[in-house]
Amino acid sequence: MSTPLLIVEKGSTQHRQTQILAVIYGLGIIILTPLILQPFEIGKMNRALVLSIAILGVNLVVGFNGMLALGHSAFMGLGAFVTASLIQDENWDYWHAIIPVLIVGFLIGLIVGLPALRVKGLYLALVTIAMAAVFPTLVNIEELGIAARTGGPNGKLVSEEVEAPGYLGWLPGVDGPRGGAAYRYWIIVVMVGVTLLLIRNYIRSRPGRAVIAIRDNEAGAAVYGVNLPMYKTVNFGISAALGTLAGLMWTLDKSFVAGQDFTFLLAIDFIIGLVIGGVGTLQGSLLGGLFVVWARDLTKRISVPLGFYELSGDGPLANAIFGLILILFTFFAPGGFVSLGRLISSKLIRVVPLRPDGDAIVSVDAMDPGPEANRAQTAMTMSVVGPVLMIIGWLLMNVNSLYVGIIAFVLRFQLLVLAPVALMVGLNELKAVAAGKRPDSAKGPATIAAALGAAGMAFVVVMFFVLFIQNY
Amino acid sequence: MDLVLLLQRIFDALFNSAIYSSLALALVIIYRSTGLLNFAQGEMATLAGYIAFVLLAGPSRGVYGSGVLGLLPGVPYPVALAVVGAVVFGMLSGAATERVLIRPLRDAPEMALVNVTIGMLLLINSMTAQWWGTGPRFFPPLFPTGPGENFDIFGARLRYNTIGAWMTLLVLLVVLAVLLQRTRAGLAFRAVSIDRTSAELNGIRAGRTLMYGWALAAGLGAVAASMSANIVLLEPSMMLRVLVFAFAAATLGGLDSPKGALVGGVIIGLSQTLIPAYVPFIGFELGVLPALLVMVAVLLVRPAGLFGTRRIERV
Repeated sequence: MSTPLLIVEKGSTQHRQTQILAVIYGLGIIILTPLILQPFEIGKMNRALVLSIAILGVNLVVGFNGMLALGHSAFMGLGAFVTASLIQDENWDYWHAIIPVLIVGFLIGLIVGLPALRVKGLYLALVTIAMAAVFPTLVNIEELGIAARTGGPNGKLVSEEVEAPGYLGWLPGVDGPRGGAAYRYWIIVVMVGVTLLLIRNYIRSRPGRAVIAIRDNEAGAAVYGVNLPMYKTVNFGISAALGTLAGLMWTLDKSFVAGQDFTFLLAIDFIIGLVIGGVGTLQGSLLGGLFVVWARDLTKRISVPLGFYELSGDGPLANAIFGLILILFTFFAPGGFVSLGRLISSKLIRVVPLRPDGDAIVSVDAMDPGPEANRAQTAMTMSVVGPVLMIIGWLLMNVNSLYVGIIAFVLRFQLLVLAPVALMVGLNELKAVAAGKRPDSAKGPATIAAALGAAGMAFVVVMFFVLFIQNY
Repeated sequence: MDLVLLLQRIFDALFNSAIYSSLALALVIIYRSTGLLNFAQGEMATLAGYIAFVLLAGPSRGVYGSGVLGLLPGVPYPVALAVVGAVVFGMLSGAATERVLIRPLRDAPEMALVNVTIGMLLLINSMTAQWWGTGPRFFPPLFPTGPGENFDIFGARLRYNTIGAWMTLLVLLVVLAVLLQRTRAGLAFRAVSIDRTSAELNGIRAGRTLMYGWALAAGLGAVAASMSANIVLLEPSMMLRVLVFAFAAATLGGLDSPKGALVGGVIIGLSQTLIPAYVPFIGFELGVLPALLVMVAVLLVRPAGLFGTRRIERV
């Protein structure tokens, strides 16, 4: 499989189809999550999404601006406490709290960032690590009325319940036993979606490009007229505001805030999520948040009997595993999940970019592998292997073991990728046979691939609706 | 102002200063040679501290004196020997870290190295917690700390413990200076710190030289951990807090200056104790804050720190 199975022009119908498919998958997962998962699992999902916003904040500095920041646990804590105080002590609304929380985060970010960002190097890391170290003690002090606001060592409970208004009762999962968690899930999903959209636009805008230019070549950026301290500081301010926004979402989700939730270890979790998701990519932040939460959940269930000694993940060992994973990813997959995903998709599909005049830079026909191509056979194999693996996965689900469970999970979900690829490649090859680019013998495998691929897709769609109708 | 009380507070602060200075020195050695902040420095030191504990008290829940050293009859100073053992272990682990985790990443971006040290921080911290438990362990003092074991200077008590810590630190500094300035390996180390490529072109084996640097730094960390283990009690995260102060000290003094590490440690130690004592609304619980504010203030005025080299870049 040296050449990818599918080669499409950017903006062509087939390219559009793959994009639409990705969007549909995304929507499907978002809709099914609150319907299928248990309430506590929805809670974990919420937490994962909240963490992804904080990781996105770290990413803006580390991934897009090339500076090291380790203090976002403090920003997140700040946002959480400001929210809790505004709502509990001042009777504000969550929606109204967003603006002051963002402003506070941005300003504190400017104040913290300004001294450290004037100079190149690791100073930002040092200042932020100091901030992360101070924060949990800072909220406990009596002076300046801080402890009264934050609840001190006892933490602060927010008594306002977040309940779905009647006109939103139709949201999946809200009208049922999962009500509260599912409604918070929907609020958080919307907030994450809007945030991702805004940050994507920021990254693509003029300031965003300046920030990336600083990362890639600081001196070069300066020569092109980028005001280094200003862009770095403002970028850090935005990043800090994302941290406080994550804090607000944390309060919204948990209704309880305590200083010891925002220690340096949380800041380390952000770095782990960032690296494992993929530094410098927006999807990476999302994946990183999901990874941090769910991997913690999984490591808790690990237990390895060593004869005389039982290694249990429900203790300090979880962090050891995280540390090990961080080191292993740094060595073997420095781009994280996103780069691994790109590696796989580069085997499956290549999107040929267009020149400004609208033609592909290389003609798609020129990249056709010719009569000897065995794409049809490969597609047929995929179309057969997909369902078989899925059935194996289904059977393995009944085995009561953590590791088998993970494998079964992966085996069941590969169909989501294999079926559409088989379908599209099969159809393409049928066209190629008709155009005389392939021998007639390729027609059979191509037909099978297309048919089985279509069946797989139909199965996916049916499964979605079955799950949806059963649970809605 | 009560001058005796002030003097007493300064004396008390000096012990912490010595600890911060030695760990800051370890950070500076690594930063100068590898250009990296070693976030695992504190945890590596803690591990070495536990090794000293094991040498004294046996692998897990033993009683003081039942460890390896307790089995040797007639050892007059088991604590000192245990510390030597910890330092040797620290140096070996430092060298191994450089060889296994740092050297393969020499062409990787800065971020990768930071990630590795953060990973090590988590790994060592939780493995020590897993093995020895999170509860604090008693560690015998290296120097006399009992009541009356102090000098009286103008009515303030200067403990032998503090003096011992500073003597140790100064002796180590002299040894370090001799190593760096008077030996071939030290010359090689300085050459690699200044310009790695040129040093390699002159036939210096940079990797091995850096390994010595890591060994030295980890050894210093082991000394710092052994000295403070009696005061803060030996527990898996004991050096994490110290590490924050050591970072502040190193930044304050200039990340690439050993002299700066020493001075920075003293300033941070003093401000941690003195500012809460004389500024009414800052409680002792919050001693961290003024120390770190001092660091930020210095960064504003002198970004390179008190004794650091200013970075000049050629475009």
